Amino acid sequence: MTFPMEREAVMIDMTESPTTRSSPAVTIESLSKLYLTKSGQPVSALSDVSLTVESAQTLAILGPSGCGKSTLLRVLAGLDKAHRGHVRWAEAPAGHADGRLRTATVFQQDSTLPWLTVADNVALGLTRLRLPRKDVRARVEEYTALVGLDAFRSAYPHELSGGMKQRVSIARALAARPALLLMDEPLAALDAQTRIVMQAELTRIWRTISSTVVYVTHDIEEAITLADRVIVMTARPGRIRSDRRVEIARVDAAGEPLSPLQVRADPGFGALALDLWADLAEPDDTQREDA
Amino acid sequence: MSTDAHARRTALPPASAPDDDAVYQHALRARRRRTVYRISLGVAVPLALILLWEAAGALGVMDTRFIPRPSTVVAEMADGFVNGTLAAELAEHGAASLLRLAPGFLLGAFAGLVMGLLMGVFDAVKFGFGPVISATFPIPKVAIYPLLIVLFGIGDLSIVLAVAIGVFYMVCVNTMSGVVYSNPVYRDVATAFQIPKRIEYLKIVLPGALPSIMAGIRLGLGVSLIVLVATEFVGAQAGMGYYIWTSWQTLNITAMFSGLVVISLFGVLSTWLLDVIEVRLIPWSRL
Repeated sequence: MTFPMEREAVMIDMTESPTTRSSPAVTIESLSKLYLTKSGQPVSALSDVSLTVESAQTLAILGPSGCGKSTLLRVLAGLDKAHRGHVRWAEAPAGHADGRLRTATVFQQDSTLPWLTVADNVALGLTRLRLPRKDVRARVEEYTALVGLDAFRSAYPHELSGGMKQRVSIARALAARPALLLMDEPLAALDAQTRIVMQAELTRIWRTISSTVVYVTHDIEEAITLADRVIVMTARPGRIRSDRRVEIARVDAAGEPLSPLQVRADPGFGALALDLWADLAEPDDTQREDA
Repeated sequence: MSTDAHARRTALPPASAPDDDAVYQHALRARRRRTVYRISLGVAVPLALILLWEAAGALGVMDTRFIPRPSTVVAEMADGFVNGTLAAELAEHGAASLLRLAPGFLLGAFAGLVMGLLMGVFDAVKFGFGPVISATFPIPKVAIYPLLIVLFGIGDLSIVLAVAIGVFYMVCVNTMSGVVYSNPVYRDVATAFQIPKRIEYLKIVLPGALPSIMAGIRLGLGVSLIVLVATEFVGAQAGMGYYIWTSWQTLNITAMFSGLVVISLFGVLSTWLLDVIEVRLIPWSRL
């Protein structure tokens, strides 16, 4: 499998982890998940899904509601342990000696804890790492600043807007320096304007931290704007329909990141959006063949 | 006052001064008018009810031998306080009741909190004790009092335990549902960030259940007063329940009403205390 070079400019920034680009960060092998309805009927959420996420890659999972994309993310996050199939991580759990969590998650809904300040919310995500107090403070300062909340460290979540609360969640996830950053429709609850601003923010932040990202969304444009690779899933049963690379420049000639609106102006953007639309709309042939 | 305290607690950048002073003044006036409206109705309605009572007595609709007019009650109470007899009686019986209420309430609330948290957190405890708790919950706690007398004899211990049992159920059931029904995303955060269990319980589970725990404690307070007075009616030689009951039997109506006033003061003061605690403990739920 060839690996496109569109993140060339980004790779230059990744002085921290100059690992090989196409090494897998996590491999999912024939993952299946059933839910039981109240009456005991089985509903298939994921059916035999296999997927490899490569290091330093931003992977968007796109699909209608009920296609199992959130279930897939919850399995990766360790929130769903009752499934069939294997999840193989590239790195064995290192006992957190390197000061990183394997995964950290940004949830769709507001997941800030209302009884903790912004700083304490971010610090809470670091408790497993058992860092010295001053390292915790340093990380809290670094990542609240990164998401633009330096002035609000001692504010409580109820004093913040929806977009700012989501920034707190993002800072909390980033501060754990996860090997794999998981985001479950993190911008879905925000208004359209804030969403564009946050998309630009995410692009900027990902350039800085060079983490591997799995990003669940139902928004085609958001997927193309943010991701290197887009996977389309279909519902009932949850399966991977298509797997496409995004070949759109995210930086200009000078290496400066383009805004989400500039990215959308790329001629390749519309074409890819149409392809993804087709993937999403196409009736499920596989299902008919099965029957 | 609350905005000042608020500003000190947080580092929110100060709000910009209102641009349009006239609009600001108008908003202030509207709020003030509403406050005046609220307070004047809150005073006027009880006053009207007392007047109605007074009128019923004065017009002979009510037999003043049993239900004296409020003016008579207040005048006799004032007498009793001036010559000290009523004050001394109330202090004696009030103290006796308080010495049963406080330990019973604290014991029941603490046990209920621990059991509720255990049931909320551990399925085994919930599955094991849930049916027992649900089956015994609907029993009026006063009805357990004879059993307690059989076990512990007539005396303070039985009353304290009856109060504790009444409080226990309210706090236990509300704490458990506070843990079980708090926003599931809080527990997801704990799992997703592999937060150590001890920190999860202290910093996520307990605060998340606090609003419900406080509701349970409020309900428990109401139950504790009911159980206290009811058990003192029959099982004590001192205390507000005993005092109210003997006042009625000797047709000392003023003393009876004084007892009711003291009991309602217990309720008002402890509710106020809980309000103060709640604002400190769960500032986020009041906004």
